Amino acid sequence: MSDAAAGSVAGSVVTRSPLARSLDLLQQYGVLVAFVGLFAFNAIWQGDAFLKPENLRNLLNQNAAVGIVAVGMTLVIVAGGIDLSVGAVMALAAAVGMLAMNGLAGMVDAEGAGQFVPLLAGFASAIGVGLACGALNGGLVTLGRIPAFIATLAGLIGFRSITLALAEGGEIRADQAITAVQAIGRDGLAIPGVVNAYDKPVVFYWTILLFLVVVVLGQLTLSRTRLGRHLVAVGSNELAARYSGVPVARVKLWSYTIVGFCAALGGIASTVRMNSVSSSQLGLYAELDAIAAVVIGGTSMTGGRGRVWGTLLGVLILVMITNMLSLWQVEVYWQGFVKGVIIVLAVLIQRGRAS
Amino acid sequence: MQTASAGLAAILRLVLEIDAIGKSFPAVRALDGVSLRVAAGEVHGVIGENGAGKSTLMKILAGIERPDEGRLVLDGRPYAPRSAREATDAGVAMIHQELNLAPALSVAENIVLGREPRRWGFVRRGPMRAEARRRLAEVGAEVDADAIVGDLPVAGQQLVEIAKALSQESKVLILDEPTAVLSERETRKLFDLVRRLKEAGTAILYISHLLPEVRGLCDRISVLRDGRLVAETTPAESDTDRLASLMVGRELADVYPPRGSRPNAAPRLRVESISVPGHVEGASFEIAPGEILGLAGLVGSGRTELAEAVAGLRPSRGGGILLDGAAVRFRSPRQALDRGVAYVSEDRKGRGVFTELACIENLTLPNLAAYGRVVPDRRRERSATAEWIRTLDIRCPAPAAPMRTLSGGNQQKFAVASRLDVKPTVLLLDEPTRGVDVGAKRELYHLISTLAADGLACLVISSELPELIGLCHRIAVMRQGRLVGEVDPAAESPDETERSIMRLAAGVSEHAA
Amino acid sequence: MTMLRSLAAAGALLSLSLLAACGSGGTEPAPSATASTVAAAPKIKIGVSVPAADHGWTAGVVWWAKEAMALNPDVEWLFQTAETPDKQIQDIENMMTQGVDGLVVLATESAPLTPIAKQAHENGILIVNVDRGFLEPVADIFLEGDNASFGRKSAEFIVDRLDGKGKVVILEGIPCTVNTARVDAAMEVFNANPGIEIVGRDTGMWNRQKSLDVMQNILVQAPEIDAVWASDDDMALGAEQAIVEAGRQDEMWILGGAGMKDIVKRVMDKDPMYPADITYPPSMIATGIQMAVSVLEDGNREEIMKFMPQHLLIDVELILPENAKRHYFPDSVF
Repeated sequence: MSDAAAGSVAGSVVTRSPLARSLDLLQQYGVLVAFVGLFAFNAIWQGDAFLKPENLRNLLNQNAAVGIVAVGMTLVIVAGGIDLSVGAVMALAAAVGMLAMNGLAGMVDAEGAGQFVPLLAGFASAIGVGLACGALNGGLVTLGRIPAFIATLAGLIGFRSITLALAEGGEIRADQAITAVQAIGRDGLAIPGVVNAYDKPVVFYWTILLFLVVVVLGQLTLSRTRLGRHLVAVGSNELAARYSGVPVARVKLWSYTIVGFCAALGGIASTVRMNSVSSSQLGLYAELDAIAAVVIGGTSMTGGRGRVWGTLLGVLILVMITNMLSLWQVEVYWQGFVKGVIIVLAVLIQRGRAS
Repeated sequence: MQTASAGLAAILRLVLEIDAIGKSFPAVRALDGVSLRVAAGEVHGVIGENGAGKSTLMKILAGIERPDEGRLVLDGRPYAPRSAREATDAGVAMIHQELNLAPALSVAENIVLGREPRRWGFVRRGPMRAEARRRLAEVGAEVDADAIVGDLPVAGQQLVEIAKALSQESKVLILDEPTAVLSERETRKLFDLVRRLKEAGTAILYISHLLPEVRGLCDRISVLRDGRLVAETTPAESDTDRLASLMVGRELADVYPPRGSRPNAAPRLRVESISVPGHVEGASFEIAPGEILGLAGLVGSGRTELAEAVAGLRPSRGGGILLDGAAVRFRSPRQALDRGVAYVSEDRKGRGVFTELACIENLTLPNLAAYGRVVPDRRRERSATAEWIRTLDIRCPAPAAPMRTLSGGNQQKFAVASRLDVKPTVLLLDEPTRGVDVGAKRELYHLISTLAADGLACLVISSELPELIGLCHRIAVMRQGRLVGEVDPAAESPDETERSIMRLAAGVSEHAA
Repeated sequence: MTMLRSLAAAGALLSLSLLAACGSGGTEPAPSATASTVAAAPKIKIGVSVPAADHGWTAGVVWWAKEAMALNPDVEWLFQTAETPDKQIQDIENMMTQGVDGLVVLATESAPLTPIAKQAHENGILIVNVDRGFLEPVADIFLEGDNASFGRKSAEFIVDRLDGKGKVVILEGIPCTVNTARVDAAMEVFNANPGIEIVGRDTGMWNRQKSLDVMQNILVQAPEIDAVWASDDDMALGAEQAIVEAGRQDEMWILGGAGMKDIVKRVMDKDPMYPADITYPPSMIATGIQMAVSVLEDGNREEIMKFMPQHLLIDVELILPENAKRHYFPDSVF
């Protein structure tokens, strides 16, 4: 077989028509095209108001919490699962974190010193709750053999209910002694040389930084690590993964635990922005926004194929659409309809790739 | 190129003309000016190595793919099916290598699917069942028309598929590797059926890797290589050796490597009376390092289940498994792989490879930790993949290409390579050459032999007895979940050995035979 | 040609959605657009952020805000209504990006809006806070209705009219500081009069439907009722419906609150169900807007703020048939 030697291609290589190739590219990088297009459209339509660093920062910040959750959601969906409970987990983690923080508020002295311990305890317990909820979901899906949709739907209802019970249906505010909560929400790295309309420096909020760090870590996990490869394998063909020695149950458990962790981070990001935890409002419909961003970003809902950077763009596209619609004074009631159409469009355009 | 059929075609009525068909995929010229003529009442064999273009040609005929160039003529009229449905309506039916049935529906429902007898929009179950029974009887299938297809063994499903094709009154029937999942007896039944259809005037395109089978059944044989038609011949003109060399483009000698002497070492793997509820009952065997043990038996005799139990894929009961004398019981395939016990499944697309993932990702997955516990080293993964592609002569567009762009045989090579990458000491191969062409089979045999010579203990499960006889040191035979005997292929002639195995597998006593 | 089909379907959907979007945009004239285009050379820019009009009183707030803005066409107005605190934060962030000089804010909720108000304050923006306060003293001017007075005066009216003896039902609003102040003050009065017996108490969430539901329950449990302290006109209407459905409209009367024009009209017409009402004027948003304009318009902010009150309590008034005409605004939406 010397003529068909190692790894070479049988037959000649054929070049495809430019149209076919550009359609392929549109499918592959459609989300990037859509993002650039929308960005340019907004920049032209709204001009300076849109391009102001302060405005771009605000748009990012408004969606950091959902974005963080969407990163975790990407990993779960790549592994062939789904987590509908993320919004409720955000609220529960945030509520427990806030209660823990307030419980330790006595450690803060009159000048406001000593806030570090309660703050840390609050964040840690929020993350603990997120991990626990995620592990519970994962356990139900793997050990309990309950379909992910059902198990996490139960979580969506159940975790929200616990949150409402903890807060008696209302909101939980940070103890007055703990001023750091809102300080964190409105603080960050000053962007050198950028000032707002009042000659004050524009700061790059910590929550945005957290979001971007989560995006980078998520993308690296998915594309570079062994766990990421296992997630892809399980989502692509669960049986083949098992036969290849992939610990399928453990991989799934990890995926739900990671998304639980992300939900807790999202809950924290939301808490510091809102300076309180609203048991009924925090994280409401976050699961839907997150799934929408994942789908728009080009991740396959059947698993086995996905990208976190696409999800980031998906989040930003949704942000810009909402922003655009508000500027056009489109009623809030119609905004969901437009979002729905965008999701269908994204799936239609990206579908041809697999076939 | 030989055109032995010019005279023949003039006498017989031509049903299907394939005229200079060409087809390209992103990186591959799959078909290049292929022309074939098939007459009514003819069984036309199409052979070729994996990737030679057989499957693409058949998919074009069945309306699944469309040709880039050339034309098709069916019964004197241009034929350009745009879907499988149009092909079926025009009278071209195809039995796929991978069965295309709805597993949740009953046999009868599958057979009449899409053409259900209806009255006022409701399916008439009586006529539907009657039609299904009639077709099943024609095929000679003893299958209950009301059974759920998913519950049937694979061979039964294949018969249902054939009955379905028959019920469509096809002019042209395409059989793609139909015997791969059939037992000896079922294969004979199928051949009887093919001959009857032929007498009834159906044109049959028969694709297979089993050259003796093709020679025995077909009137004419077309050989494809690298997308081109390289020969059209008849069984009388070409023996199997010649067919094989036409396929690979050179003389093919030594299909089976020389059998080394049976090693005398202490067993590496020893299985003592283990059971898999419902499948295997108290099976015991042992394999020494360097030894190749064959496992024969009819489909459904528990061969796969036994191997899967050893590899930690199924819970087993009773007895024990000893590896180098130490008792083990793997609770997961991971544990088995870590201890050097690797299993390659017979179900390539379902359990063997990831069709949507890249070749690299397929290759390194079972052994990924070796490339980095947290972050696998991509460069090493790539070089390992390139190495395996070279070693096994795998044809793939690029290491990063998705597995689905490879032909079935090359996918199978990747499935085996990925397990070998774990550097196992015990290798369990379940139908390793199913759907693999002669050239690749030969390479796999030599590879297995080399691995054994290097000290690997191998178990080869196969329904192809010549392959077991040519390759193995010993052949164990399973029947209805029990290991019923062992045959030494070196002790008697291949034909004798084959008969001994069949007697054991079918449960025929020595006297009766 | 699946791909072509997909693209065609995609195109159809896009045009449909754009049509829908344009259609809905067209039906609702943009308040900020009308307000801002009037100003030819805007000198000052003021942002007004209020809750969306989800019940009568907030609808009144939106109406009065527009009235006040229209009176000052020289100011560039940025007006937004918000359904949720999150949306209100976004609105205020956008207003700050556009460099407003002043903000008039009626907060949807106190805690979430405090950080952004604080940030605005640190940027030197004049903040006029109306009715619902922030958690920290970041407003330059805080304007609120006197809720304690609301509770006290309404309770005193009921006690007087019942001659210190009777059975009273209490309907509370959404649990928050406003509600607490009203109910505490009212209870103080009722408790000081031993002849008054509270025969039912539940929360109607400042919502007509919810009030109808809870009132139905109370009517079953309390065989005798003389008066209902409803604390809000929306809740009063819900309660009234329950009472009428139970056929007990001759047995009791209701005291609502906030000065809804329909109720004021019925007080004016001497409807026995509504002997009085009590103001809690949504027009206080207009007061706040007018104050912001007067502080900012001549560039004398520092000077003016020296004498501007930082906290204003707007007292409430009983609306009786004699003075109802003065509180009746037939053009208002509320």
